[in-house]
Amino acid sequence: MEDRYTFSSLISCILNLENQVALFYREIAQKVEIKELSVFLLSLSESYLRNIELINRRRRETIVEMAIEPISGLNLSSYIAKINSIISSGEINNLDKAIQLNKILEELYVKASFKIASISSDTSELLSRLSRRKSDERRKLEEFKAYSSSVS
Amino acid sequence: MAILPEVQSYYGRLKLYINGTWVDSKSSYTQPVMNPAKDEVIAETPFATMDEVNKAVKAAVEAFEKWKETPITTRVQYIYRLKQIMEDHFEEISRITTQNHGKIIDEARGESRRLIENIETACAIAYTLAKGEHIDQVASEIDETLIREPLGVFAVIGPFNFPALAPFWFIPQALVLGCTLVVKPSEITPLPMMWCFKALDELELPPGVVNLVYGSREVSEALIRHPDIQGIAFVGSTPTGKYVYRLAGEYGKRAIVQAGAKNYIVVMPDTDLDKIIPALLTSFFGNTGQRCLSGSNLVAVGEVYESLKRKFVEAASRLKLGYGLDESVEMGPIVSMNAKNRVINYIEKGISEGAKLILDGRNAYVAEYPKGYFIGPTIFDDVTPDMIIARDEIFGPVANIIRVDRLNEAIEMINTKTSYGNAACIFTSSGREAREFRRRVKCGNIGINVGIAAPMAFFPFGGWRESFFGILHGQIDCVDFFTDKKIVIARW
Repeated sequence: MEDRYTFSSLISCILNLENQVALFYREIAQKVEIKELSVFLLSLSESYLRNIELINRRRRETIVEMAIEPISGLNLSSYIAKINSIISSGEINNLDKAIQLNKILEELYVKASFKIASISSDTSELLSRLSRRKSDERRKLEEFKAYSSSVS
Repeated sequence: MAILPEVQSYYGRLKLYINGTWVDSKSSYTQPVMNPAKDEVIAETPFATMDEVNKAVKAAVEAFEKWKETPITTRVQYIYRLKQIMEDHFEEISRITTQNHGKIIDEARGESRRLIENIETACAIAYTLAKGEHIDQVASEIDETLIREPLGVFAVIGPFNFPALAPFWFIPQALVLGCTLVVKPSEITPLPMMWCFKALDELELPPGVVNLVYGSREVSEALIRHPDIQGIAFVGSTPTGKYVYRLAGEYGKRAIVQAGAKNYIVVMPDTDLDKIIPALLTSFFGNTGQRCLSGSNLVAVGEVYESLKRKFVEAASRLKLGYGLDESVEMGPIVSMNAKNRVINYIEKGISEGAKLILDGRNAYVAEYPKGYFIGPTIFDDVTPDMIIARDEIFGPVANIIRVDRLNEAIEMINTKTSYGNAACIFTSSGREAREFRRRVKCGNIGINVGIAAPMAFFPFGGWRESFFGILHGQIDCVDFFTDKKIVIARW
């Protein structure tokens, strides 16, 4: 896949990733043993689904006509591949998977935010904010990891 | 990348919207509405009969008497609701625009957004610009007041290239100011406006405030000549625009005529080319070159020529063609087979008059849509400003590279070698040169480091020389277009 996107194809891809990760969090929430972690993962899943609505609305409200300025240099396919590989991996535990997924999206959103700044400034700002939020969520997941390590 | 679903694959025989009701036309003449990416009939447009045109105008006349008496606070509530309804229909209107016109979905969404911005601007003018003026004591015990009054029924005649947006340069402003309308969209791309009228129907405006008829020249002429039509807002080509303006003058009507263009894009040697190439792609090939703000002549000043040519051709040749409902597509088809043939004729003219064809889009082929009206990005080099391809509005994805030594030559060329004056853009890192360009160029919309100089809804849509006929422009200028001033000098 060529590393070149329209604004809409990039955003659609991000929406798919949010949905994919939301479903994954919901699935693993039922498998983890720590109750607080399960609740947190469920809340993350819901938050990701809300993000989809937010991103969709933002892009609808702020798109301008500078439509065929191609977006390149994101290497989106490598992010998709990494996310798929983490989700399907049998070697990583679910908590580590969640931490890694958040880290990847955090990084992707920073880059994407920069790339679309001139096309849809509000969507850019939103991705930047979501990246910071994912960073906070990752730290929380890492606390759970430290706690579970200390218990075991 | 998956193709976004079409709202409907077939829309049937379109209905007119007269006096708050969808009605079947009695017309025996219909024209097929096409999906240009697929060469597929997606609707049938009946051309309204004269009786139907008269009924639409009569409904608007009757509605005007009540609508103008409706308090502005009530009228503006309709417009607030219209914004929300349009937001609800945003994606449908965008997809239908892509399906009927061919532009890519991002461009269609951009168009829908601009449409909504015009509605927002109408809300803003309602309580500000629509107000009158008053001075107490202009003479001893005499006060003077200026009152704005809505004029009546107006006709809006839309173009094929921005089928949803262009009529909305006028519709929300007319409504909020108390006027009523008969709208005639392009017969080539009537679907987006038909869908907008579904939204207007949901608004439950009083019957007759907005009316929709379809047709071609005959219907347009009937509207312009109609004694109850106060004015015409037209967007289209310059030859048709001149005719509309002349006819409107003959019948004593107000007219806003936004017409054609031949836009120059000037690139100075101090420009960072890597930064501007995406903007150039948008300018020349966005909307498949079918916009009155598109770049057409690319003027390379001095030593920037070689590298500009190389980078521009390289980037243009990579644009992905296809059906605009595929989000990864970067350029859609031309709107109709006739329009495609017209563009190809111009390319052949360019070759015959000695321009060097360095990127040929004539044989563009999209495997999934072999019948689509596609033309790929096309670039001519060694173009001189006197060539037909450098003077005529081609309205397709054709760029002409013209080489000059100095900015002064570029400005002279813009001011003397084309009769159009819609837009001109400069790419430079020099504030002094940008300022000189801005001051000397005789065009209504100027872009500085911007490839498409598109004014927002709260500015007038500019246009000089043969790109515009009239005094007031579309968008914000409509306040003066749809109203007239009554001056009251009073002594008590």
